Amino acid sequence: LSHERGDISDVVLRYVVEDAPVYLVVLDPEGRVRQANRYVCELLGFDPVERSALLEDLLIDCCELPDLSALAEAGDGPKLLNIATSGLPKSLSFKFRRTDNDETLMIGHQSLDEIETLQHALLTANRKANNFARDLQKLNAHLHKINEQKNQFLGMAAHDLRNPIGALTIYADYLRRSGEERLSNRELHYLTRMSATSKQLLSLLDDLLDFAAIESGRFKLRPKRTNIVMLVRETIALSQLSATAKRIDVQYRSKTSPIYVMVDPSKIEQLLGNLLSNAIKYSASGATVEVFVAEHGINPQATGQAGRYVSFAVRDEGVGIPLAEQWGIFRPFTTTSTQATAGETSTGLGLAIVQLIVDAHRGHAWVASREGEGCTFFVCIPIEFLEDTDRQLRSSESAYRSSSAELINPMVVATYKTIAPQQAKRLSDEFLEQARSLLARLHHEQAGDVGGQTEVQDVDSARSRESLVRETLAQIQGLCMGVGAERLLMKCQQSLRAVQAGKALELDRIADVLEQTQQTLSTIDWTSEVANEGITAMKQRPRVEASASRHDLINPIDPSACRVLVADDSHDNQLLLTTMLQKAGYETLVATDGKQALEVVRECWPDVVWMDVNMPRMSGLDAAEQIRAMENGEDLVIIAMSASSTETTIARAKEAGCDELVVKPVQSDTLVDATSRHLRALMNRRAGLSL
Amino acid sequence: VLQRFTDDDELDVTTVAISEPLYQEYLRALLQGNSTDCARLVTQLLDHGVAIRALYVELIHRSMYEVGSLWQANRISVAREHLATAITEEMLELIYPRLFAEGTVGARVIVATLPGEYHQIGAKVIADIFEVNGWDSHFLGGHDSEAALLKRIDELRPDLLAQSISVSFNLPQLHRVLGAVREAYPMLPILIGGQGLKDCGHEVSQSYLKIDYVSSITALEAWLES
Repeated sequence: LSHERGDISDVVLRYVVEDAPVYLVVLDPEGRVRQANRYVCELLGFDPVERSALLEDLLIDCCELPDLSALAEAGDGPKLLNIATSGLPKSLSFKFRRTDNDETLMIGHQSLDEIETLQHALLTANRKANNFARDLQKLNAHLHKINEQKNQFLGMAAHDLRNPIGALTIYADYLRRSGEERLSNRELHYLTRMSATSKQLLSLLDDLLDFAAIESGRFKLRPKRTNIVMLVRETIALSQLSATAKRIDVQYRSKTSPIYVMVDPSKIEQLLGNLLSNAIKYSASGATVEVFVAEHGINPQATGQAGRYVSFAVRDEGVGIPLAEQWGIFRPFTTTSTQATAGETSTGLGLAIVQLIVDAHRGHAWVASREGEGCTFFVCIPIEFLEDTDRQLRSSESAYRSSSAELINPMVVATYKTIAPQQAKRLSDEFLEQARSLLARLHHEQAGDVGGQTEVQDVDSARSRESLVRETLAQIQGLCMGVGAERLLMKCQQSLRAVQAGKALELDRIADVLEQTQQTLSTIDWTSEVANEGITAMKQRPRVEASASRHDLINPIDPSACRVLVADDSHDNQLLLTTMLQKAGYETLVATDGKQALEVVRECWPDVVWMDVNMPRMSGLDAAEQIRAMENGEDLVIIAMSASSTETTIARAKEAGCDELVVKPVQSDTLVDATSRHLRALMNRRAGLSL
Repeated sequence: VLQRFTDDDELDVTTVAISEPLYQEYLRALLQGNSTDCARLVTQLLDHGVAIRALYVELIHRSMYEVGSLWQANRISVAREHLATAITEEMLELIYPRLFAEGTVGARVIVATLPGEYHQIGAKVIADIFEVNGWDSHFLGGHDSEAALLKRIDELRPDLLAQSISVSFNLPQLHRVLGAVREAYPMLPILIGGQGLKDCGHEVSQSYLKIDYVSSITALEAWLES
């Protein structure tokens, strides 16, 4: 070509030198670059001729540098070499040719086929990845839908099951009562079991309903300014019923002065109810359950602003929860190995509901427990959580969460021992003191490390240093485990590892934690304080207060010790009223007319009689008159029931000796309220008489 | 090589939801291979509540059509066209999770490409149109045999199969797939569509029972309506 078509040869040469993506280098016998085309300069990012680069500067791997003359003489086989570029290395196929003046021509190119294959593979991989992502999205949407359906189903099932099970409860109760004479003990026992099981089922269904409602997002907070102390005490009053049934004493142990908080009262009541029912469920008969409330300021960060928080704690004397099972206890469907003391069942949803409610209030819930020593459930929520701006909320929340473990665990320990506040104080003081001396030791040790390099090299000193660290670790571990300060423990362990690795200790961090702990300890004085006050208040409180005040709610009459007679000729009404009364815990009796009512009163002497005015054989008012005429005839309550409430009816009922006239149909609230109100008056009268 | 929407879907400029400058910005980013900018624009449009259909017709369809024209006019390389295709697929995956807000009509469809065909954007858009219209829509692409399709049909028991073909060169392959599906599922309604059927869609559909041809998104929407 070069001989016959000189013009074309020039064009080709210029193309190869100026434009073509071909690697072209001329090397002298020593391997130094004499000439390079533009493509080589572009790849390298510099001109190798100017820098008098050697062949080895152009190649990357070079485990053995190719022998130029051998390569040039080896023939046509291309040699694959990795070349250096300003970016990623490239693999090119090279051929070497010896020129007339003993130089070597090195020509290389990248395989287009290979690039094509690579491109194809990448595109295919990309397509597949896209399709997989798509399948996942589809599946995700599907799962989301199924979850919604699950919640709907839960809600629906629970709701639709409620009514039939309610009916089962009522009929089982009715059968048991009406068949007392005809049925064998075994049959009666079965009926009792039936009714108890139905009641359990009902409460399980209620949990499911709540959970479904919350999970499906139908859970809306309706925050109101609420006196949390009053709310707590009212909730305690509501739980007395089940507590009394197990002979468990539920006590409020804090100040009675109001604390106002922005919360959704019904949700907080539900939360407390769940905690209380758990405490009762896992307490043995005769035990005490204590409830504490306190307002306090925790400084979430050492430098952060103080927040206002309200905490409540429910403490029981049950068997406690093993440490390993405390994790995840607030997750749905988690149950522990701890057994309820009266065979009560659990859905594993009660605490999950607590957690959801606490989360909605941007609060925090946790448990402190040791096996065999009962457990204490804590809830802490910010007082004005809704008045914060979102940003503040987020930052304070996250700060609060991150620091709460260290801050709260010492508090847990202190409150855990609230029954002996002095003991708690001593424990936390001890904790602080030990931690401080430990810190001082580490500080000292570190100072020694920094101060004298020679000491470190000294074998004896290094050994004593190691043993010091081990010893202190053991101390910290014992300490931290004792108080449940896991995060502090973790930090100490990190620090230990750092020491062993010869790094500087982050003592400031530990100092920080201790500082925070101390701050917290000052806020936990409320526990001992309020506990003391609570106990003093309990001792000083008069047994009977004149007015029907809160005290009545807190110390209600014991319904199970009271008998109520329902006298009504309608079986439906009998069943309805007795069911409602039994639900409230009363023992009930029935009579179908005035004469029978008289007999029952004579034989059983109930505390309260609900007397229908219009009954066959003897009217309710006649029966009331005759009861009052009996010996001690005033020593029971008679409440008349009538469809009419004209003044004459009321006057006639009073005349006959009835305490009150209630209009039919009698609602559940009215029934229970009137019964307990009159009972209380009766108890007071009886107390007065006995004195 | 481009998977093109058919001519029935020509853009009606009087009703566009996506402005010209925005479209040009997207096209520029697409041709430069800048998927980050493309994703930003698509996300913005989605966040502004632009209808999914408008996004498909006025952005995805229009830009890919233009990319195809540029390639045909030798103004961009195959590699660049592939890059634009890859980015467009990425955009489809970005849009996809937003489709599920719609209710469901209780019907299920499998939208499949032909085994061995690389082009799946058109078929994916069709799958999304089904999803937007309340169908439970499953896309099957990148498979290498009709056995994979039959297996999927067996698993999902769809009410409809929508089979795409992107180049007419693959018509024998289409016949093989349709034959296999017909044999295994004689009663399964089938829709066929795609650029590969541009000249013979009706002819092919008439040679089978219960197979309809849809020539465009608009035709599909009319079919869904009916």
